[in-house]
Amino acid sequence: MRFVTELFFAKIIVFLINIINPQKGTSFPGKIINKIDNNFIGKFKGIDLNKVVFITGTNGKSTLTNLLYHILKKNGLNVICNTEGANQKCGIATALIKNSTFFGRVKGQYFVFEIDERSLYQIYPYIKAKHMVITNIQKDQVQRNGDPDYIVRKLREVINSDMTLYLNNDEPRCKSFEDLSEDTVYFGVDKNSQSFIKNGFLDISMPCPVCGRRIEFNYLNVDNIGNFYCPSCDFASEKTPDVKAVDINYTMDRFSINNQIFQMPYNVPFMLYNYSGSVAAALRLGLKIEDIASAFASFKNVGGRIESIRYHKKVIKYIRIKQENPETLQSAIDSVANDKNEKVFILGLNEIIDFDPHYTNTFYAYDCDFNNLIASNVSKYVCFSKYVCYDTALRFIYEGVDEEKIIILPTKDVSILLDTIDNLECGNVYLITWLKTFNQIKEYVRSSQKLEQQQNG
Amino acid sequence: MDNVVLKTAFLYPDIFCLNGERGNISALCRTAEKLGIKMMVDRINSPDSAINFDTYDIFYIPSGELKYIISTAQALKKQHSSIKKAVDAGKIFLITGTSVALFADKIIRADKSEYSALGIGAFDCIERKDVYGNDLVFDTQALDKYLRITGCQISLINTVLKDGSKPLGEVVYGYGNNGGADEGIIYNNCIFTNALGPVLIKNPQLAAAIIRLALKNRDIDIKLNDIDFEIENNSSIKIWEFIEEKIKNNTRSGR
Repeated sequence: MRFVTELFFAKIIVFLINIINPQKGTSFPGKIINKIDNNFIGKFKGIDLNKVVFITGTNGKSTLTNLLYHILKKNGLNVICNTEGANQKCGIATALIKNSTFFGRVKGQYFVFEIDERSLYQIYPYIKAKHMVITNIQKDQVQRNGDPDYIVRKLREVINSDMTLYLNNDEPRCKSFEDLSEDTVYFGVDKNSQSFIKNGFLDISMPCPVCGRRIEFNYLNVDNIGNFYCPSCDFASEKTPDVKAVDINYTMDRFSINNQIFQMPYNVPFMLYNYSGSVAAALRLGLKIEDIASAFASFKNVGGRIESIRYHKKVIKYIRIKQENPETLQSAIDSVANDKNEKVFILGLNEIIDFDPHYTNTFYAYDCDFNNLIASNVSKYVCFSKYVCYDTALRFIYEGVDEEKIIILPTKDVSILLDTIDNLECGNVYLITWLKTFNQIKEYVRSSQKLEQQQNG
Repeated sequence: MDNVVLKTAFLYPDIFCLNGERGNISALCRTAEKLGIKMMVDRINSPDSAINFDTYDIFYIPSGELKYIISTAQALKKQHSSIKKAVDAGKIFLITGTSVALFADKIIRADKSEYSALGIGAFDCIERKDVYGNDLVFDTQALDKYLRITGCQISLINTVLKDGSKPLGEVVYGYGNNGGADEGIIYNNCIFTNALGPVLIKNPQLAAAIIRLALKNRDIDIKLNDIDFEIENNSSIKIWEFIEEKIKNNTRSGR
C-alpha cells in the first residue's frame, strides 16, 4: 500500500514537472521518491530480470543504449529505456514511474537502461539485471573518477556470475571482467581502413590489467581500443569473439556481422563498437540477425555531437566534447583533421565546474595527438576561455605550431570570439568546446540576428 | 654550449602516464633547448629491465594508478640497491602524482591491505576512499631558488612524512600531501610532487631548475641563455585569478 501511495505521489510529480520544467522531467521525480523510499525501484511488478539489460562504461553507453532500444522497438517489442541519458538511480526510477500503471505494474517486455558506472552499485541490488554490457573503461572526469582502476574496482563490487557479460574484446580493462562470469559474450571490430598503430616516441600504450606490464596493440580502431595482447602474460583479445564487425567499408557505409550486411548510420570508427555491442546483446535476447540489421538504417542518435551555425558569412562547424575526456577530444580533433582544406580551428577548453571544488585541469589535451590536425592546413588557431586559454595555447605550441598562428582570447564573452571569427579571412571554421559554451554562442547568434532583422525593418 | 648533453630516462610511460605527463618530457627538452643545451631521452618501458643509472642525469616517473604502482614497486625491488645508490649519489628523480608511492615505505590501500614499496625517502602513502581534485599552488626553495609552482592535483592518497624526510614546499592553495601545509617531498635530489599532469609545461622555471641541478651534478659551469616564458606566466596569472575568485566567494568552487 505504501508503494502504491508513493507511486501515485511520484506520478503527480511527473505530471507537474512536465508542466513547470520538462527538462528536469527525466530524473527529478525519481530523485524525490528515492529520498522517501530507497528501495522504490525494487518494488515494481512485472520486470522479467532475464529481459533487463544494463549498459555501462566510460564512452558510448548512451549511443549503445539508444541503438539497442531502437533495434528492439523496430522489431515490435515493448521496451522501457532511459533514452534521455538520465543514468543514475533517479533516472531509472523516473523511467519506471512513467512506464507503469498506478499499481506499479510495468508496461514493458524488455528493459534497456544506461547506467552510470559509479551508480551501478546503487541500482543493481534492487534490479538484478541478467544482462550487463560494458563498453570500455577509459580516463574520464578524473576529479570524480580518479583513475580507470577506481571505476574497475567499483564495477567489480557488483558484477557477478549470475549475469551474462557483454565485453568489448578490444579494450583490455573491459575484457578483464571476464573472470567474473562464465557466461561472457565478446564483441569487437576487425581491422579496417581507418585502423592505425601508434609508434611515436611519446606515444603511450596502457598497463595490462592482469600483470601490470605494457599492453601491445596489433592495431587500434579507436584510441586505446583495438586488437591487443600482453607480451608478459597470456591476456589478449579473443581470436574469435562472438560478435565481430568485419568487411568495414566507410565509403559505402557498410559492415558485416556473421555474414549479414549492416548499414552504418554513422560512418565513424568509434561507432562500430556500439554497433557490434548492440548486435551482441540483441542476438542473445533472441532476435534474428536479419531483423537486427533491418533496424540499423533508420537509427538516429540522440544528441549528436556535430552541429553547424551560421554567423554573418561564416558557417561554424561545432563538435561537442566532454571536458576531462581525452577520447571525445581526440575524436573531435580527428574529425577536423579529415578536412584538408584551409581552416580556422577554435578550441575552447574551460575550467572544470562539474563538481566542487572547481579547478583548471586541461591536462587531458596532452593525452591527445594533434599531429594530423596540424598537418591538415590550419591557418589560425583560436584559444578562448577566461582562465585556461593560455594553457590551451601551450598545447599547440608544444605540438610545434608557430605562435604567430595562435590567437589567444582570455574571455568568456562569446561576442569577442564571434567578432574574431568575423574578422578572419578563412571561411572554413571549426569549433570544439563543451556544450555550455556552444549554447551561449547559439543564443548570442540568435539574439544578434533578431536584432539585425529588427534594425532592417 | 652545443656539446653539452643531458640524458633523461622516461620511466614506464605505458604503465603510468595517466594525466598527459608525456608533456613533461617535451617541456624538459624544450626548456633545455632554450637554455642552450641538448636533452636526450630514453624510454624505459618495463620495470623488469635493469637500468644503468650511471647513464642518466634525470629520471622521470609520471603519475600512475595505485594498482600498477604496487606491481611495479614489487618488480623494482630487484633493482633496489641500484636505485638507492643512484639516489644517494644525488641523481635527480622527478616523480609526480600518486607514483610517489613507489618510493614509500608502506602503501596502505583503502581496504586496509598493506604493501611494502621501495622504502626510499621515509614516508607512507595511505589510500583514501574518495578522490580529491583541485588546483594546487605551492612555494618551494628546495632547488636553490624560490619558485612558485602552479598546477593541479588529483589525489587518491595521503602522504605521511616520517623523520628524515622533508616537504618539497609549502601549500599556498590546495590540498598538498594530506590537507596541511606540506606539499611533496624532497629527499636528496628526489623531487616528489602532487602536482600532476604536464607540470613542467605550466612551470618551465621548475624544468630549468632541474636542468641547472643536473648540470651542477656533472660539475658543468656554463652560462645559460636567458629565457622568458610569457605565455606560461600569463597562464599562472589567470589561474591565480580563478583561485582568488574561489577564495573571495568563500567557497572552493568560486561559484
